[in-house]
Amino acid sequence: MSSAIQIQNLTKSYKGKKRQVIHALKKLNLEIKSGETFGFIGPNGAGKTTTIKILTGLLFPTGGTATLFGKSVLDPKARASIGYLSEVAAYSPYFEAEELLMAFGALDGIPRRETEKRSRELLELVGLLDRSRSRLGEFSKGMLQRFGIAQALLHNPSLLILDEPTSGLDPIAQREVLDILHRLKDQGITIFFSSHRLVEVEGLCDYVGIVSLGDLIFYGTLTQLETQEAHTPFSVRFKDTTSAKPESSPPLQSRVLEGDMHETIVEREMLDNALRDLQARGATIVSVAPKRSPLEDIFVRLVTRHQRGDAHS
Amino acid sequence: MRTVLTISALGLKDYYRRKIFIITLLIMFVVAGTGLLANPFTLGFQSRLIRDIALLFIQLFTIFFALALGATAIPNEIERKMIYPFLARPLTRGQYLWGKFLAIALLVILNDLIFGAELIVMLAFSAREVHWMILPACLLISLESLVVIAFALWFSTFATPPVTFALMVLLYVVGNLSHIYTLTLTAGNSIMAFLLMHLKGLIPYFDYFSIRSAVTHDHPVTLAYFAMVFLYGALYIFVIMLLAEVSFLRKNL
Repeated sequence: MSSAIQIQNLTKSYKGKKRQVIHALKKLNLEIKSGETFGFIGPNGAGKTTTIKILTGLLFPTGGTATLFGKSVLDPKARASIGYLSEVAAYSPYFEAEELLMAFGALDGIPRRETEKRSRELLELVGLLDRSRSRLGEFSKGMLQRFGIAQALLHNPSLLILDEPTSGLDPIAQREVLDILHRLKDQGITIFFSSHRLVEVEGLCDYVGIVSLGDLIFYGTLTQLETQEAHTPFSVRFKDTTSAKPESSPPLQSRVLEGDMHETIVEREMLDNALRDLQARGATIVSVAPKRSPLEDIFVRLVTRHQRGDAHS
Repeated sequence: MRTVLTISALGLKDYYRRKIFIITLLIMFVVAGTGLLANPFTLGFQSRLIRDIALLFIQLFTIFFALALGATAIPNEIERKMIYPFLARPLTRGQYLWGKFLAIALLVILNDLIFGAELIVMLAFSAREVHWMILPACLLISLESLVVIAFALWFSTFATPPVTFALMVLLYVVGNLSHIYTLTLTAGNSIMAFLLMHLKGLIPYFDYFSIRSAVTHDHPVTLAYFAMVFLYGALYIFVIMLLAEVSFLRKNL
């Protein structure tokens, strides 16, 4: 599979106040293959938007290289194969949705007839066909974001770059945008999608990259992330007919779920002892299952650890 | 070229829908008002006075209009992030800049033609004279404004709108000083004279674009003069827009 995005030692530094150098990106390395959906996750100020702006030619790197389908991002022609949606979908409020898409089509070099057809298809895809003649100033934030996806897809790009597409949207609008992205993923479009919420990319992204303070601190699948951060405890459910409780120093106490059904959470290394104790006390073990730590917890743990490490170094 | 025209068409539509032409209407009233102002005078003098005052108004308004639009076009789009969906497409920043220039330029030329036509009609009714020279005079005012737009766009690629505005006022004042006046102004101060004379060498002499006096006093203006001024303005616009392009090319957005 060919590379849609290849980033090597990408560095971006700014001069801050008092001539202090701020490193927005520190030798970032990343490769996204064609057809993949990649979630670029990090807290605010981690370097996500900086990376995306470099990929789309809005910012210039201080070091390293970035290519889109083998072409340097410094070459405007490289942008012919990408569709981009910025964090804030901003368009002149005086244009009608279809009218602006027609203009974007002209800029993309698409013949007028084809743009007309494609505009209608895309407005239908994002649920705005009935508002095609409405001015963008009349659109809600969610509608503007959906219009943004339509304009990004106008020229049938092979790669879609989305900078926090659900940021600032209400839960319903977030769901609508994510549904569109799921449909696009099913169509095989490569998606590079940034977010500061790990749960958002669950089920959508094949791979995730977690970035913090300009460093890529994790790259892989969500399963790999959960395995790597293997603090996964086990949930033991048992029927307590004899007031049995695991007393072999369980790390967590049991709680009543319903009737005589109890649950206790034990760490992996304590599991054997806990089960033996429960059996010895006559409890009926109903289930033993790994208790997934919420993705947000993993994310927060990972980022906090990195930021503390960075502060100490 | 299609890219530049698309951007300029979008820019023009945007200005139109922002009801920027209301300002045009306002100036049309001012131009018409000059007729009332000149009413008490004799017919010949009245006509000259109308031409003089109206052309001065048209010039001042057009320069201010061009400066305001030129200084804010790019910074506003960057600040409101409306530039992103454009520049993330396969077009160069130079094309975007030329598109914006063309949009403002067309708006300015259109305005000046409307003012010029209004002035001709007004004089035809009030003084029973048709002064066709008003139209070329308005077009030269437009050309002067295009030079101003190019400078304002260039400055706006590296400065904030207030700084651009201040730089432009300075440029316009220095650009209107005649050689003799500059020497008189800096008499006794050799450093100041040296700096000002060299600065003047770099910036255009805006007085070349004004034929107000000739139009007012019915003096002929040769075709060669128009051609020379046109070349002079076009050259300045081209060079300054190239500088703007270079400056904008590596700007982090």
